[in-house]
Amino acid sequence: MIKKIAAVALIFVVTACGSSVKVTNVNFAQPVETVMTANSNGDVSDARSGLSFNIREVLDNEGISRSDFGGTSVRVIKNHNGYYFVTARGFRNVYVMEVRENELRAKEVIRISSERLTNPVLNQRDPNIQLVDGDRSWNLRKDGIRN
Amino acid sequence: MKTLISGKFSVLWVLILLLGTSPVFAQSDYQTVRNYQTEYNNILNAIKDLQSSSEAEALQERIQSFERQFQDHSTLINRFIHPEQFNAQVSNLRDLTSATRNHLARSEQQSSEIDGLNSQISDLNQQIRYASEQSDSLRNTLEELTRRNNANVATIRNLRSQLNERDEFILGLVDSLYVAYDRLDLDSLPASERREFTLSADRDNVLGHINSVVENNISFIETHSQLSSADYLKMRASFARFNSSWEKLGTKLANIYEPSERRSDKITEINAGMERWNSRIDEAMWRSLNSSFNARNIELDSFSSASSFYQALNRYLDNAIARAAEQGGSEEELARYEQFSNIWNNDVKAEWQEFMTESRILTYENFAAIDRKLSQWNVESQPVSSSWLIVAGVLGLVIVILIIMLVSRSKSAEPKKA
Repeated sequence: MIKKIAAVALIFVVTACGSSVKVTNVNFAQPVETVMTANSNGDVSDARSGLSFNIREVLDNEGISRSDFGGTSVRVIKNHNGYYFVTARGFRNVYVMEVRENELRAKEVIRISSERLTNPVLNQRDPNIQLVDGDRSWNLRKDGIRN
Repeated sequence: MKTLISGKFSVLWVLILLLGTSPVFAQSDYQTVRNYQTEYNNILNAIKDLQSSSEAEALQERIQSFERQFQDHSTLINRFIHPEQFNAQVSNLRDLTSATRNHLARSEQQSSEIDGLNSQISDLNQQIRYASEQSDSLRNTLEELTRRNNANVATIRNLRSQLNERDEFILGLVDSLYVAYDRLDLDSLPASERREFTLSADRDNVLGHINSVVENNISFIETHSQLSSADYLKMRASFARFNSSWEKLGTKLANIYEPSERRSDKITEINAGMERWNSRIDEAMWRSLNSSFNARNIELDSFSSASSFYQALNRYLDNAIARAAEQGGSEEELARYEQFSNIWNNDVKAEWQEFMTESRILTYENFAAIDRKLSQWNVESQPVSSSWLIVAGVLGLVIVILIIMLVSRSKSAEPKKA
Protein backbone atom coordinates (compact mmCIF):
# COMPACT_ATOMS: atom_id res chain seq x y z
CA MET A 1 0.00 0.00 0.00
CA ILE A 2 2.79 2.35 0.94
CA LYS A 3 4.54 1.44 -2.29
CA LYS A 4 1.42 2.32 -4.30
CA ILE A 5 1.10 5.67 -2.56
CA ALA A 6 4.79 6.41 -3.21
CA ALA A 7 4.39 5.52 -6.88
CA VAL A 8 1.36 7.80 -7.30
CA ALA A 9 3.21 10.61 -5.54
CA LEU A 10 6.16 10.13 -7.86
CA ILE A 11 3.88 10.33 -10.89
CA PHE A 12 2.41 13.58 -9.60
CA VAL A 13 5.86 15.01 -9.02
CA VAL A 14 7.05 14.05 -12.49
CA THR A 15 3.86 15.33 -14.09
CA ALA A 16 4.13 18.57 -12.17
CA CYS A 17 7.74 18.99 -13.33
CA GLY A 18 6.75 18.33 -16.96
CA SER A 19 3.90 20.81 -17.03
CA SER A 20 6.12 23.54 -15.65
CA VAL A 21 8.21 23.58 -18.87
CA LYS A 22 6.60 26.05 -21.18
CA VAL A 23 7.73 27.81 -24.35
CA THR A 24 5.94 31.06 -24.92
CA ASN A 25 5.61 33.57 -27.74
CA VAL A 26 5.59 30.82 -30.31
CA ASN A 27 4.70 31.95 -33.80
CA PHE A 28 3.07 29.11 -35.68
CA ALA A 29 2.40 31.20 -38.78
CA GLN A 30 2.80 29.10 -41.89
CA PRO A 31 4.16 31.29 -44.70
CA VAL A 32 2.22 29.73 -47.50
CA GLU A 33 -0.97 27.73 -47.48
CA THR A 34 -0.87 23.99 -48.01
CA VAL A 35 -2.94 22.82 -50.93
CA MET A 36 -4.01 19.18 -50.85
CA THR A 37 -6.18 17.34 -53.32
CA ALA A 38 -8.94 15.27 -51.79
CA ASN A 39 -9.66 11.80 -53.07
CA SER A 40 -13.18 10.46 -53.46
CA ASN A 41 -13.03 9.26 -49.87
CA GLY A 42 -12.27 12.74 -48.56
CA ASP A 43 -8.69 11.92 -47.63
CA VAL A 44 -6.14 14.68 -48.01
CA SER A 45 -2.41 14.68 -47.32
CA ASP A 46 0.64 16.86 -47.80
CA ALA A 47 3.92 15.10 -48.45
CA ARG A 48 6.02 18.10 -47.48
CA SER A 49 4.58 18.71 -43.99
CA GLY A 50 3.29 15.17 -43.43
CA LEU A 51 -0.14 16.51 -42.49
CA SER A 52 -3.01 14.18 -43.42
CA PHE A 53 -6.63 13.89 -42.39
CA ASN A 54 -10.10 13.07 -43.67
CA ILE A 55 -12.39 15.99 -44.47
CA ARG A 56 -15.58 13.98 -44.32
CA GLU A 57 -17.03 15.76 -41.26
CA VAL A 58 -16.42 19.19 -42.83
CA LEU A 59 -18.02 18.11 -46.10
CA ASP A 60 -21.08 16.89 -44.23
CA ASN A 61 -21.28 20.28 -42.57
CA GLU A 62 -21.04 21.98 -45.96
CA GLY A 63 -23.59 19.60 -47.49
CA ILE A 64 -21.15 18.35 -50.10
CA SER A 65 -20.91 14.70 -51.03
CA ARG A 66 -17.50 13.08 -50.82
CA SER A 67 -17.72 11.65 -54.30
CA ASP A 68 -18.50 15.07 -55.75
CA PHE A 69 -15.65 16.55 -53.78
CA GLY A 70 -12.98 14.12 -55.06
CA GLY A 71 -10.23 15.95 -56.92
CA THR A 72 -10.98 19.27 -55.23
CA SER A 73 -8.14 21.20 -53.57
CA VAL A 74 -8.40 21.66 -49.83
CA ARG A 75 -6.53 24.72 -48.63
CA VAL A 76 -5.05 24.82 -45.17
CA ILE A 77 -2.93 27.45 -43.44
CA LYS A 78 -1.85 27.84 -39.83
CA ASN A 79 -2.01 31.29 -38.26
CA HIS A 80 0.42 32.68 -35.73
CA ASN A 81 -1.64 31.24 -32.83
CA GLY A 82 -1.36 27.75 -34.27
CA TYR A 83 -4.94 27.44 -35.50
CA TYR A 84 -5.52 25.78 -38.84
CA PHE A 85 -7.78 27.64 -41.26
CA VAL A 86 -9.39 25.23 -43.67
CA THR A 87 -11.51 25.93 -46.73
CA ALA A 88 -12.11 24.72 -50.28
CA ARG A 89 -14.05 25.51 -53.41
CA GLY A 90 -17.77 25.01 -52.78
CA PHE A 91 -17.53 25.87 -49.09
CA ARG A 92 -19.50 28.67 -47.53
CA ASN A 93 -17.29 28.73 -44.45
CA VAL A 94 -13.69 28.86 -43.31
CA TYR A 95 -13.03 26.41 -40.51
CA VAL A 96 -10.75 27.53 -37.69
CA MET A 97 -9.44 24.28 -36.24
CA GLU A 98 -7.42 23.75 -33.13
CA VAL A 99 -5.04 20.88 -32.74
CA ARG A 100 -5.97 18.17 -30.32
CA GLU A 101 -4.45 14.77 -29.89
CA ASN A 102 -5.01 13.14 -33.27
CA GLU A 103 -7.74 15.54 -34.15
CA LEU A 104 -8.55 18.93 -35.50
CA ARG A 105 -11.47 20.41 -33.74
CA ALA A 106 -13.42 23.39 -35.08
CA LYS A 107 -12.91 26.32 -32.76
CA GLU A 108 -14.82 28.63 -35.05
CA VAL A 109 -16.74 28.23 -38.25
CA ILE A 110 -16.53 31.55 -40.05
CA ARG A 111 -19.43 32.13 -42.40
CA ILE A 112 -18.07 33.96 -45.42
CA SER A 113 -21.07 34.24 -47.63
CA SER A 114 -24.37 32.67 -48.40
CA GLU A 115 -22.88 31.82 -51.76
CA ARG A 116 -20.37 29.06 -52.08
CA LEU A 117 -16.73 30.05 -52.60
CA THR A 118 -15.63 29.55 -56.18
CA ASN A 119 -11.86 29.80 -56.05
CA PRO A 120 -10.68 30.46 -52.50
CA VAL A 121 -7.06 30.93 -51.49
CA LEU A 122 -5.54 31.59 -48.08
CA ASN A 123 -2.63 33.93 -47.50
CA GLN A 124 -0.62 34.59 -44.39
CA ARG A 125 -1.04 38.23 -43.44
CA ASP A 126 0.04 38.00 -39.87
CA PRO A 127 -1.83 38.58 -37.57
CA ASN A 128 -4.62 37.91 -40.08
CA ILE A 129 -5.28 35.14 -42.51
CA GLN A 130 -6.37 36.60 -45.80
CA LEU A 131 -9.09 34.78 -47.68
CA VAL A 132 -9.27 35.68 -51.35
CA ASP A 133 -12.03 34.49 -53.62
CA GLY A 134 -11.95 35.99 -57.07
CA ASP A 135 -12.00 39.73 -56.62
CA ARG A 136 -13.11 39.63 -53.01
CA SER A 137 -10.97 39.25 -49.93
CA TRP A 138 -11.48 38.99 -46.19
CA ASN A 139 -9.18 39.25 -43.23
CA LEU A 140 -9.78 36.42 -40.81
CA ARG A 141 -8.74 35.71 -37.27
CA LYS A 142 -9.44 32.75 -35.08
CA ASP A 143 -12.73 34.22 -33.94
CA GLY A 144 -14.11 35.61 -37.17
CA ILE A 145 -13.82 38.17 -39.94
CA ARG A 146 -11.82 41.35 -39.26
CA ASN A 147 -12.33 44.17 -41.64
CA MET B 1 -26.89 71.23 -70.50
CA LYS B 2 -23.63 72.23 -68.81
CA THR B 3 -24.91 70.86 -65.59
CA LEU B 4 -25.77 67.61 -67.33
CA ILE B 5 -22.34 67.34 -68.90
CA SER B 6 -20.57 68.24 -65.70
CA GLY B 7 -22.79 65.74 -63.91
CA LYS B 8 -21.81 63.02 -66.43
CA PHE B 9 -18.12 63.91 -65.97
CA SER B 10 -18.51 63.76 -62.20
CA VAL B 11 -19.90 60.23 -62.46
CA LEU B 12 -17.06 59.28 -64.79
CA TRP B 13 -14.49 60.69 -62.38
CA VAL B 14 -16.05 58.79 -59.52
CA LEU B 15 -15.93 55.59 -61.57
CA ILE B 16 -12.31 56.20 -62.51
CA LEU B 17 -11.44 56.93 -58.90
CA LEU B 18 -13.29 53.85 -57.74
CA LEU B 19 -11.56 51.68 -60.29
CA GLY B 20 -8.27 53.31 -59.50
CA THR B 21 -8.54 52.84 -55.77
CA SER B 22 -10.16 49.40 -55.78
CA PRO B 23 -7.72 46.78 -54.59
CA VAL B 24 -5.83 44.93 -57.23
CA PHE B 25 -7.07 41.38 -57.38
CA ALA B 26 -5.22 39.57 -54.65
CA GLN B 27 -3.31 36.52 -55.66
CA SER B 28 -2.67 33.37 -53.75
CA ASP B 29 0.80 33.34 -52.16
CA TYR B 30 0.78 29.65 -52.86
CA GLN B 31 0.14 30.38 -56.53
CA THR B 32 2.88 33.01 -56.56
CA VAL B 33 5.38 30.52 -55.19
CA ARG B 34 4.13 27.84 -57.57
CA ASN B 35 4.43 30.26 -60.49
CA TYR B 36 7.91 31.13 -59.37
CA GLN B 37 8.93 27.50 -59.09
CA THR B 38 7.34 26.62 -62.42
CA GLU B 39 9.08 29.46 -64.23
CA TYR B 40 12.35 28.67 -62.46
CA ASN B 41 12.15 25.06 -63.60
CA ASN B 42 11.10 26.12 -67.09
CA ILE B 43 14.13 28.40 -67.36
CA LEU B 44 16.40 25.63 -66.07
CA ASN B 45 15.03 23.31 -68.75
CA ALA B 46 15.35 26.04 -71.36
CA ILE B 47 19.04 26.39 -70.42
CA LYS B 48 19.50 22.67 -71.02
CA ASP B 49 17.83 22.98 -74.43
CA LEU B 50 19.75 26.06 -75.62
CA GLN B 51 20.93 25.65 -79.18
CA SER B 52 22.41 29.01 -80.04
CA SER B 53 23.93 32.07 -78.41
CA SER B 54 21.01 34.19 -79.63
CA GLU B 55 18.61 31.85 -77.81
CA ALA B 56 20.79 32.24 -74.73
CA GLU B 57 20.62 36.01 -75.02
CA ALA B 58 16.81 35.85 -75.27
CA LEU B 59 16.82 33.65 -72.20
CA GLN B 60 18.95 36.18 -70.33
CA GLU B 61 16.23 38.73 -70.97
CA ARG B 62 13.63 36.25 -69.77
CA ILE B 63 15.61 35.80 -66.54
CA GLN B 64 15.70 39.57 -66.15
CA SER B 65 11.95 39.74 -66.48
CA PHE B 66 11.56 36.72 -64.18
CA GLU B 67 13.59 38.50 -61.53
CA ARG B 68 11.56 41.70 -61.91
CA GLN B 69 8.29 39.75 -61.70
CA PHE B 70 9.13 37.97 -58.46
CA GLN B 71 11.47 40.45 -56.77
CA ASP B 72 8.64 41.85 -54.60
CA HIS B 73 7.76 38.35 -53.44
CA SER B 74 11.34 37.37 -52.60
CA THR B 75 10.68 37.23 -48.85
CA LEU B 76 7.74 34.90 -49.32
CA ILE B 77 9.65 32.80 -51.85
CA ASN B 78 12.71 32.62 -49.59
CA ARG B 79 10.57 31.22 -46.79
CA PHE B 80 9.11 28.62 -49.07
CA ILE B 81 12.26 27.53 -50.85
CA HIS B 82 14.44 27.57 -47.73
CA PRO B 83 17.40 26.84 -47.55
CA GLU B 84 17.61 28.12 -51.11
CA GLN B 85 17.44 31.87 -51.70
CA PHE B 86 15.62 33.80 -54.40
CA ASN B 87 18.67 35.92 -55.27
CA ALA B 88 20.94 32.89 -55.33
CA GLN B 89 18.58 30.99 -57.61
CA VAL B 90 18.25 33.90 -60.04
CA SER B 91 21.99 34.40 -59.96
CA ASN B 92 22.46 30.69 -60.60
CA LEU B 93 20.18 30.90 -63.64
CA ARG B 94 22.15 33.87 -64.90
CA ASP B 95 25.49 32.14 -64.44
CA LEU B 96 24.32 28.95 -66.13
CA THR B 97 22.86 30.88 -69.05
CA SER B 98 25.94 33.03 -69.39
CA ALA B 99 28.27 30.02 -69.30
CA THR B 100 26.10 28.20 -71.84
CA ARG B 101 25.95 31.31 -74.04
CA ASN B 102 29.75 31.62 -74.00
CA HIS B 103 30.15 27.96 -74.82
CA LEU B 104 27.63 28.19 -77.66
CA ALA B 105 29.21 31.38 -78.99
CA ARG B 106 32.59 29.65 -79.00
CA SER B 107 31.11 26.63 -80.75
CA GLU B 108 29.36 28.88 -83.28
CA GLN B 109 32.58 30.72 -83.97
CA GLN B 110 34.45 27.44 -84.37
CA SER B 111 31.66 26.07 -86.46
CA SER B 112 31.84 29.12 -88.69
CA GLU B 113 35.62 28.71 -88.85
CA ILE B 114 35.13 25.06 -89.76
CA ASP B 115 32.71 26.04 -92.51
CA GLY B 116 35.22 28.58 -93.74
CA LEU B 117 38.02 26.04 -93.61
CA ASN B 118 35.96 23.40 -95.36
CA SER B 119 35.25 25.88 -98.10
CA GLN B 120 38.93 26.83 -98.16
CA ILE B 121 39.90 23.16 -98.34
CA SER B 122 37.51 22.72 -101.20
CA ASP B 123 38.97 25.71 -103.08
CA LEU B 124 42.53 24.69 -102.38
CA ASN B 125 41.90 21.15 -103.47
CA GLN B 126 40.42 22.37 -106.68
CA GLN B 127 43.59 24.35 -107.24
CA ILE B 128 45.72 21.38 -106.23
CA ARG B 129 43.84 19.15 -108.66
CA TYR B 130 44.35 21.71 -111.39
CA ALA B 131 48.05 22.02 -110.55
CA SER B 132 48.42 18.23 -110.42
CA GLU B 133 46.77 17.88 -113.79
CA GLN B 134 49.15 20.47 -115.19
CA SER B 135 52.10 18.66 -113.61
CA ASP B 136 50.95 15.35 -115.06
CA SER B 137 50.62 16.93 -118.46
CA LEU B 138 54.11 18.43 -118.20
CA ARG B 139 55.55 15.12 -117.10
CA ASN B 140 53.87 13.33 -119.97
CA THR B 141 55.34 15.85 -122.40
CA LEU B 142 58.79 15.35 -120.88
CA GLU B 143 58.52 11.59 -121.07
CA GLU B 144 57.32 11.77 -124.64
CA LEU B 145 60.21 14.03 -125.61
CA THR B 146 62.67 11.75 -123.86
CA ARG B 147 61.24 8.68 -125.62
CA ARG B 148 61.62 10.37 -128.97
CA ASN B 149 65.15 11.41 -128.09
CA ASN B 150 64.49 14.82 -129.47
CA ALA B 151 64.41 16.74 -126.25
CA ASN B 152 67.17 19.21 -125.94
CA VAL B 153 68.47 20.15 -122.55
CA ALA B 154 66.97 23.64 -122.70
CA THR B 155 63.48 22.25 -123.28
CA ILE B 156 63.81 19.75 -120.46
CA ARG B 157 65.17 22.43 -118.17
CA ASN B 158 62.27 24.68 -119.00
CA LEU B 159 59.75 21.93 -118.35
CA ARG B 160 61.55 20.95 -115.19
CA SER B 161 61.35 24.52 -113.98
CA GLN B 162 57.61 24.56 -114.60
CA LEU B 163 57.27 21.30 -112.70
CA ASN B 164 59.16 22.79 -109.79
CA GLU B 165 56.79 25.72 -109.78
CA ARG B 166 53.81 23.36 -109.64
CA ASP B 167 55.35 21.33 -106.84
CA GLU B 168 56.07 24.41 -104.81
CA PHE B 169 52.61 25.71 -105.52
CA ILE B 170 51.12 22.49 -104.16
CA LEU B 171 53.40 22.65 -101.13
CA GLY B 172 52.42 26.27 -100.59
CA LEU B 173 48.75 25.39 -100.72
CA VAL B 174 49.15 22.56 -98.26
CA ASP B 175 51.19 24.87 -96.07
CA SER B 176 48.61 27.66 -96.12
CA LEU B 177 45.87 25.13 -95.48
CA TYR B 178 47.74 23.91 -92.45
CA VAL B 179 48.34 27.45 -91.17
CA ALA B 180 44.63 28.19 -91.46
CA TYR B 181 43.82 24.90 -89.82
CA ASP B 182 46.34 25.37 -87.04
CA ARG B 183 44.56 28.55 -85.91
CA LEU B 184 41.58 26.44 -85.06
CA ASP B 185 41.86 24.76 -81.70
CA LEU B 186 40.38 21.43 -82.74
CA ASP B 187 41.06 19.87 -79.37
CA SER B 188 38.42 22.10 -77.88
CA LEU B 189 35.78 20.81 -80.30
CA PRO B 190 33.39 18.08 -79.24
CA ALA B 191 34.47 14.68 -80.59
CA SER B 192 31.56 14.50 -83.02
CA GLU B 193 32.36 17.86 -84.64
CA ARG B 194 36.03 16.98 -84.83
CA ARG B 195 35.18 13.67 -86.51
CA GLU B 196 32.84 15.40 -88.93
CA PHE B 197 35.52 17.94 -89.86
CA THR B 198 38.18 15.25 -90.24
CA LEU B 199 35.95 13.16 -92.48
CA SER B 200 35.17 16.16 -94.60
CA ALA B 201 38.86 16.98 -94.92
CA ASP B 202 39.73 13.35 -95.59
CA ARG B 203 37.57 13.28 -98.68
CA ASP B 204 39.93 15.76 -100.23
CA ASN B 205 42.91 13.48 -99.62
CA VAL B 206 45.57 16.06 -98.85
CA LEU B 207 48.21 13.44 -98.05
CA GLY B 208 47.47 11.80 -101.41
CA HIS B 209 48.54 15.01 -103.16
CA ILE B 210 51.72 15.18 -101.10
CA ASN B 211 52.53 11.57 -101.94
CA SER B 212 51.95 12.17 -105.64
CA VAL B 213 54.39 15.12 -105.56
CA VAL B 214 57.00 12.83 -103.99
CA GLU B 215 56.42 9.93 -106.38
CA ASN B 216 56.35 12.15 -109.46
CA ASN B 217 59.67 13.70 -108.49
CA ILE B 218 61.27 10.30 -107.97
CA SER B 219 59.95 9.13 -111.30
CA PHE B 220 61.26 12.27 -113.00
CA ILE B 221 64.77 11.85 -111.59
CA GLU B 222 64.85 8.19 -112.56
CA THR B 223 63.82 8.91 -116.14
CA HIS B 224 65.91 12.04 -116.80
CA SER B 225 69.65 11.67 -116.43
CA GLN B 226 70.75 14.38 -118.83
CA LEU B 227 70.10 17.32 -116.58
CA SER B 228 72.80 19.70 -115.46
CA SER B 229 74.29 20.10 -112.00
CA ALA B 230 72.33 23.35 -111.68
CA ASP B 231 69.09 21.47 -112.38
CA TYR B 232 69.88 18.86 -109.74
CA LEU B 233 70.87 21.51 -107.24
CA LYS B 234 67.57 23.28 -107.80
CA MET B 235 65.74 20.00 -107.34
CA ARG B 236 67.65 19.33 -104.16
CA ALA B 237 66.76 22.78 -102.79
CA SER B 238 63.15 22.14 -103.70
CA PHE B 239 63.33 18.77 -101.95
CA ALA B 240 64.87 20.41 -98.85
CA ARG B 241 61.97 22.85 -98.63
CA PHE B 242 59.41 20.12 -99.19
CA ASN B 243 61.08 17.83 -96.68
CA SER B 244 61.32 20.57 -94.06
CA SER B 245 57.59 21.28 -94.40
CA TRP B 246 56.81 17.60 -94.26
CA GLU B 247 58.87 17.12 -91.10
CA LYS B 248 57.13 20.09 -89.54
CA LEU B 249 53.58 19.36 -90.63
CA GLY B 250 53.45 15.73 -91.71
CA THR B 251 52.27 14.15 -88.51
CA LYS B 252 49.83 16.95 -87.83
CA LEU B 253 48.40 16.81 -91.33
CA ALA B 254 48.04 13.05 -91.00
CA ASN B 255 46.22 13.52 -87.70
CA ILE B 256 43.80 15.85 -89.41
CA TYR B 257 43.35 14.30 -92.80
CA GLU B 258 43.84 10.58 -92.35
CA PRO B 259 41.55 8.22 -90.50
CA SER B 260 43.41 6.67 -87.58
CA GLU B 261 43.51 3.18 -89.10
CA ARG B 262 45.35 4.41 -92.22
CA ARG B 263 47.40 7.16 -90.60
CA SER B 264 50.51 5.24 -89.62
CA ASP B 265 50.79 3.45 -93.00
CA LYS B 266 50.36 6.70 -94.89
CA ILE B 267 53.06 8.48 -92.88
CA THR B 268 55.43 5.52 -93.35
CA GLU B 269 54.71 5.49 -97.07
CA ILE B 270 55.44 9.21 -97.50
CA ASN B 271 58.53 9.04 -95.25
CA ALA B 272 59.89 6.19 -97.37
CA GLY B 273 59.11 8.21 -100.51
CA MET B 274 60.94 11.22 -99.07
CA GLU B 275 64.02 9.05 -98.39
CA ARG B 276 63.98 7.64 -101.91
CA TRP B 277 63.52 11.10 -103.36
CA ASN B 278 66.46 12.37 -101.30
CA SER B 279 68.77 9.49 -102.23
CA ARG B 280 67.87 9.71 -105.95
CA ILE B 281 68.60 13.44 -106.04
CA ASP B 282 71.80 13.01 -104.03
CA GLU B 283 73.13 10.28 -106.29
CA ALA B 284 72.31 12.23 -109.44
CA MET B 285 73.51 15.55 -108.06
CA TRP B 286 76.93 14.33 -106.77
CA ARG B 287 77.48 12.43 -109.96
CA SER B 288 76.65 15.53 -111.97
CA LEU B 289 78.85 17.81 -109.84
CA ASN B 290 81.78 15.41 -110.19
CA SER B 291 81.24 15.44 -113.96
CA SER B 292 81.04 19.24 -114.04
CA PHE B 293 84.47 19.58 -112.39
CA ASN B 294 85.97 16.73 -114.43
CA ALA B 295 84.72 18.32 -117.64
CA ARG B 296 86.86 21.36 -116.79
CA ASN B 297 89.87 19.15 -116.09
CA ILE B 298 89.63 19.82 -112.41
CA GLU B 299 90.26 16.62 -110.62
CA LEU B 300 88.75 16.82 -107.19
CA ASP B 301 88.90 13.90 -104.79
CA SER B 302 85.74 11.89 -105.20
CA PHE B 303 82.81 13.12 -103.12
CA SER B 304 79.28 11.98 -102.41
CA SER B 305 78.19 14.24 -99.58
CA ALA B 306 78.24 17.89 -98.56
CA SER B 307 81.18 17.40 -96.21
CA SER B 308 83.25 15.32 -98.62
CA PHE B 309 82.57 17.88 -101.38
CA TYR B 310 83.80 20.72 -99.17
CA GLN B 311 86.84 18.67 -98.12
CA ALA B 312 87.61 17.90 -101.76
CA LEU B 313 87.50 21.59 -102.67
CA ASN B 314 89.73 22.53 -99.74
CA ARG B 315 92.22 19.78 -100.42
CA TYR B 316 92.42 20.80 -104.07
CA LEU B 317 93.08 24.46 -103.19
CA ASP B 318 95.51 23.66 -100.36
CA ASN B 319 97.54 21.49 -102.72
CA ALA B 320 97.49 24.18 -105.40
CA ILE B 321 98.61 26.91 -103.00
CA ALA B 322 101.40 24.72 -101.62
CA ARG B 323 102.50 23.80 -105.10
CA ALA B 324 102.56 27.45 -106.28
CA ALA B 325 104.44 28.55 -103.19
CA GLU B 326 107.01 25.86 -103.64
CA GLN B 327 107.50 26.09 -107.39
CA GLY B 328 106.75 29.78 -107.77
CA GLY B 329 104.20 31.36 -110.02
CA SER B 330 104.03 30.39 -113.62
CA GLU B 331 101.84 30.65 -116.64
CA GLU B 332 100.79 27.04 -116.14
CA GLU B 333 99.88 27.60 -112.51
CA LEU B 334 97.96 30.70 -113.44
CA ALA B 335 96.05 28.78 -116.10
CA ARG B 336 95.13 26.12 -113.53
CA TYR B 337 94.01 28.84 -111.18
CA GLU B 338 91.90 30.48 -113.86
CA GLN B 339 90.32 27.19 -114.76
CA PHE B 340 89.21 26.62 -111.22
CA SER B 341 88.31 30.28 -110.71
CA ASN B 342 86.16 30.13 -113.80
CA ILE B 343 84.02 27.24 -112.60
CA TRP B 344 83.97 28.58 -109.07
CA ASN B 345 82.89 32.11 -109.99
CA ASN B 346 80.87 31.51 -113.13
CA ASP B 347 79.12 28.28 -112.19
CA VAL B 348 79.31 27.54 -108.50
CA LYS B 349 78.85 31.07 -107.20
CA ALA B 350 76.82 32.57 -110.02
CA GLU B 351 74.45 29.67 -110.64
CA TRP B 352 74.59 27.20 -107.77
CA GLN B 353 75.30 29.17 -104.61
CA GLU B 354 71.65 29.90 -103.82
CA PHE B 355 70.65 26.26 -104.14
CA MET B 356 73.80 24.97 -102.44
CA THR B 357 73.21 27.12 -99.38
CA GLU B 358 69.50 26.32 -99.35
CA SER B 359 70.20 22.59 -99.52
CA ARG B 360 72.97 23.01 -96.95
CA ILE B 361 75.68 21.68 -99.25
CA LEU B 362 77.86 24.70 -98.55
CA THR B 363 77.34 27.55 -96.15
CA TYR B 364 78.17 31.19 -96.81
CA GLU B 365 81.17 30.73 -94.50
CA ASN B 366 82.30 27.80 -96.64
CA PHE B 367 82.07 30.00 -99.75
CA ALA B 368 84.03 32.76 -98.02
CA ALA B 369 86.74 30.29 -96.95
CA ILE B 370 87.09 28.95 -100.49
CA ASP B 371 87.21 32.54 -101.81
CA ARG B 372 90.08 33.35 -99.43
CA LYS B 373 92.05 30.29 -100.53
CA LEU B 374 91.37 31.12 -104.15
CA SER B 375 92.78 34.65 -103.65
CA GLN B 376 95.86 33.19 -102.02
CA TRP B 377 96.33 30.78 -104.90
CA ASN B 378 95.94 33.68 -107.32
CA VAL B 379 98.77 35.57 -105.64
CA GLU B 380 101.01 32.52 -105.45
CA SER B 381 100.36 31.49 -109.02
CA GLN B 382 101.35 34.78 -110.66
CA PRO B 383 104.40 34.19 -112.96
CA VAL B 384 107.37 36.65 -112.84
CA SER B 385 106.79 38.99 -115.81
CA SER B 386 109.65 39.75 -118.44
CA SER B 387 108.75 43.44 -118.41
CA TRP B 388 109.60 43.46 -114.77
CA LEU B 389 113.07 42.12 -115.65
CA ILE B 390 113.59 44.86 -118.25
CA VAL B 391 112.54 47.51 -115.80
CA ALA B 392 114.85 46.04 -113.20
CA GLY B 393 117.74 45.97 -115.76
CA VAL B 394 117.16 49.58 -116.81
CA LEU B 395 117.01 50.61 -113.18
CA GLY B 396 120.28 48.77 -112.48
CA LEU B 397 121.96 50.44 -115.48
CA VAL B 398 120.81 53.88 -114.35
CA ILE B 399 122.19 53.23 -110.89
CA VAL B 400 125.60 52.13 -112.32
CA ILE B 401 125.77 55.26 -114.51
CA LEU B 402 124.93 57.47 -111.57
CA ILE B 403 127.63 55.88 -109.46
CA ILE B 404 130.21 56.33 -112.21
CA MET B 405 129.21 59.98 -112.61
CA LEU B 406 129.48 60.62 -108.90
CA VAL B 407 132.89 58.98 -108.68
CA SER B 408 134.27 60.91 -111.67
CA ARG B 409 132.90 64.22 -110.33
CA SER B 410 134.48 63.66 -106.97
CA LYS B 411 137.87 62.97 -108.63
CA SER B 412 137.77 66.19 -110.70
CA ALA B 413 136.89 68.22 -107.64
CA GLU B 414 140.09 67.17 -105.74
CA PRO B 415 142.71 70.11 -105.51
CA LYS B 416 145.64 69.71 -107.81
CA LYS B 417 148.94 69.21 -105.96
CA ALA B 418 151.40 71.96 -106.50
